[in-house]
Amino acid sequence: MKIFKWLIVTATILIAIIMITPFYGRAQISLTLQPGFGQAITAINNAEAAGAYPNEILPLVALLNRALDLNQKASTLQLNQTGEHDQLISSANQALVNVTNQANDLTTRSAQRAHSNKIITSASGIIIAVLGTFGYVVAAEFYQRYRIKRTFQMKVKRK
Amino acid sequence: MKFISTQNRRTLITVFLVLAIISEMGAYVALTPPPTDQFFQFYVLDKNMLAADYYPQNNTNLLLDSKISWYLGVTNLMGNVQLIEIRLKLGNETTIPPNDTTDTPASAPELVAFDRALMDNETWTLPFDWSITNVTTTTGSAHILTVQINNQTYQISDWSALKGYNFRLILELWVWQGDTNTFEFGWGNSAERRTAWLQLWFNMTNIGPPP
Repeated sequence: MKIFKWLIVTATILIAIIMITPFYGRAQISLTLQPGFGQAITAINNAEAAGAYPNEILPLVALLNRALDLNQKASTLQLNQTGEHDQLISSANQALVNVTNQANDLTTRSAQRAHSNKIITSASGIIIAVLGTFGYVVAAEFYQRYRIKRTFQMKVKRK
Repeated sequence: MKFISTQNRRTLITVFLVLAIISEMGAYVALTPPPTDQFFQFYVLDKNMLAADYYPQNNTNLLLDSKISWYLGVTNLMGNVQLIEIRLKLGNETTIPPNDTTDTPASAPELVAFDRALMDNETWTLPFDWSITNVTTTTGSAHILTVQINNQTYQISDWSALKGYNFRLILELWVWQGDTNTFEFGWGNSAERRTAWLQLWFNMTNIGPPP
């Protein structure tokens, strides 16, 4: 039974090492210029780094592009169209806020999912190692029995 | 459990550790994407999406109001979402073009910029229709006064060329940098930086409407 204790201790240590490993890092940025666009693209990049899937990122990028289009459209308006200009800028800012919030939520969910996936994958490796070791023990035992049987196999014949 | 006691413990621990290391290496490889070369593709195509007939009748000597249709293309192969900007600059023979060694942009004034957020491996194709709509000549130089780009008219203060030769449109790819929170010409870090830009030359010697 001592051997199983050793196996359990080793497996526990390996899992602990895997769990305390950091999964992704966030860049520290200074948001002094165009904070809305900067925050939105940074939030999207963080979500990607956290392991978000492309189909989850796509709607955020589409929304960001909508904000860019609104911003572009606002920049082409004449000076006497201030009302429309302000409305477009307001819509663009709202879109950016939505992108940032959704990306932050996605970052949290993706990080948790990536964490779980990593633990499951790592634990699978440990389980495979335990099963492999058990298989080795069983195979070794059968091989030993086979050798003993072959060595001491005798046929008694009456003469 | 009798058979376990007959085994060598060290052998079992070694077998377990070897299997664990192999399994965890497999898990690490499965979870870690392989490093790839990170870059952008930036190109301009004619109205048939070919790199061939950029100008009407393949004649670089343009006429007033002759509409030219191109497609600007950018493909993001940086491995993540990127915010990019195509900047259109107006140059002539004396304009200093972008420098790939020092990563400096062209010295020409910027007319318009197009922004876009691109997914990884996404290609953005931007229709780019333009025409020269007003030109004047003074002291042997042709001055382009207005340009129409994608149905938007732009007034230009100073874009001239001697006898109307060697105008050029310079297109530069600028990429949003999260650490500085600005668009910067090119991409990469200080150790390895790359730039992408294009320029297309044309003349404006026959000032008159298209036939």
